[in-house]
Amino acid sequence: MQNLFSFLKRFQVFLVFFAFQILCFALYVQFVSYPNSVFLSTASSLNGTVSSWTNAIKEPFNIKANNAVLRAENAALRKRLGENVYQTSRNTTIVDDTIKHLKFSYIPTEVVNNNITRRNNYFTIDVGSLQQIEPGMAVITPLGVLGIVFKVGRRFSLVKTVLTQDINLDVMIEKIGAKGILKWYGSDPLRGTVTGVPDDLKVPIGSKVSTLDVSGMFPKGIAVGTVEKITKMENQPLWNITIRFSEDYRTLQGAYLVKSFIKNELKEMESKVPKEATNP
Amino acid sequence: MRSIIVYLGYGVTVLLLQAFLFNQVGMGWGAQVFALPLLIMMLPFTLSVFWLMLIAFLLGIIIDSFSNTYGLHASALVLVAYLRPVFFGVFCPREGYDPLKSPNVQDMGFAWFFIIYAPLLFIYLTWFFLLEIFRFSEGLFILRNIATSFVVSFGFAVLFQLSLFKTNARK
Repeated sequence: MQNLFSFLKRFQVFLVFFAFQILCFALYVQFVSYPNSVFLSTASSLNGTVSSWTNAIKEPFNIKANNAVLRAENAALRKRLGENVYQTSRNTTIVDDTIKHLKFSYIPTEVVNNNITRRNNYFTIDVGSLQQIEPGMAVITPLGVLGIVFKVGRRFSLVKTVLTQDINLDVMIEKIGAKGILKWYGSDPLRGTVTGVPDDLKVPIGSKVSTLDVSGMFPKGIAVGTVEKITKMENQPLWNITIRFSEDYRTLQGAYLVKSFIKNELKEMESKVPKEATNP
Repeated sequence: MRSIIVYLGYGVTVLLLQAFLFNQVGMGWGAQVFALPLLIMMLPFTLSVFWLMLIAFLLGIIIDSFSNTYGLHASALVLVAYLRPVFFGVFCPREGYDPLKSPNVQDMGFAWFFIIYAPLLFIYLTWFFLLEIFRFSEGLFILRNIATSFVVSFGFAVLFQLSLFKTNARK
């Protein structure tokens, strides 16, 4: 007992240091493993509010460019309005609207914190559980994709962006229809990497990369970027494709949350696949 | 009492700078200003290592909560606080430290500050980037980040203290 006390006394500084390090590690584990706790993150009410103040200071600097993007988007959408379409058939057929079910709806939101300097970057958006936001919802921007909702607070949420290491979005290279997985290796906020494309396929430089709706999260065909460079992967018959993101995440201000009406149905259906069939 | 207010002022200033300026601005080549180790460095000589570690932990948690890094800054700052007395002991003047002085450039001189703060900052950055990236295969990337961040962080530390020196001289 005497020895124990003298040991504790001798190493007390180190033990306190060690305890603090354990505490830090516990905080990290807490963040990664409990999606509903927003404690000590920018999605908490206090930090989210402070972040939205500083965002209000930054906003005017990018507003011109962002407005131009929104105008272009509006113009593209306006083209699709019914009043701009010349109707050739003159109502000889009746369109029954019960044929078309809504698959996705969109919730506009503002990005209040877009820190891009870390290895895993989480953006904060100003909607939360009050707006029926749920973890797992997709987030897109006027020019591309942003990521997936990771944590939901009352008035703010955290988005796990495409600028995180293990984002693993399903994407498609449009010209050749090859499927791949989007990754990010953590140094360049303008460029990402697509893996999983076999190297016997020819991938043209400059072809568009867009989302797939395999998990029912993202609408099909949302732009992700364009192919910039292809290199061979070591020891694997796969391409390592560098893409340039179509969105500039450094100056991002607005985004849309995608509310999917088919995701749960799809998940339920796919869970009925027998286990043997998935692992032949 | 007066010194507590002064330190609180330093703390709030540096925290705000770190959270809303340095964390938001990427300067290219992985360079980023890390201002918080300077706060730990500038705390009074008389403060015990337990207080240092507690203050470091709290500061780290605050900055972590603003950059979604969860314990990363806190862990690196606690390490700096733990090592500070070790370095202070090694480079102690023969007659010991004068409790009326504080550990900064203006009181202790640039050579003393450099010889202690440079290794502390280097250890901080190494610990931080190793934990953040957690892959030895990216050694070059880590080294580049450490080197560029070291230059800008040390530059900030000197500039910050020189600006304090001027305001003090005016009084």
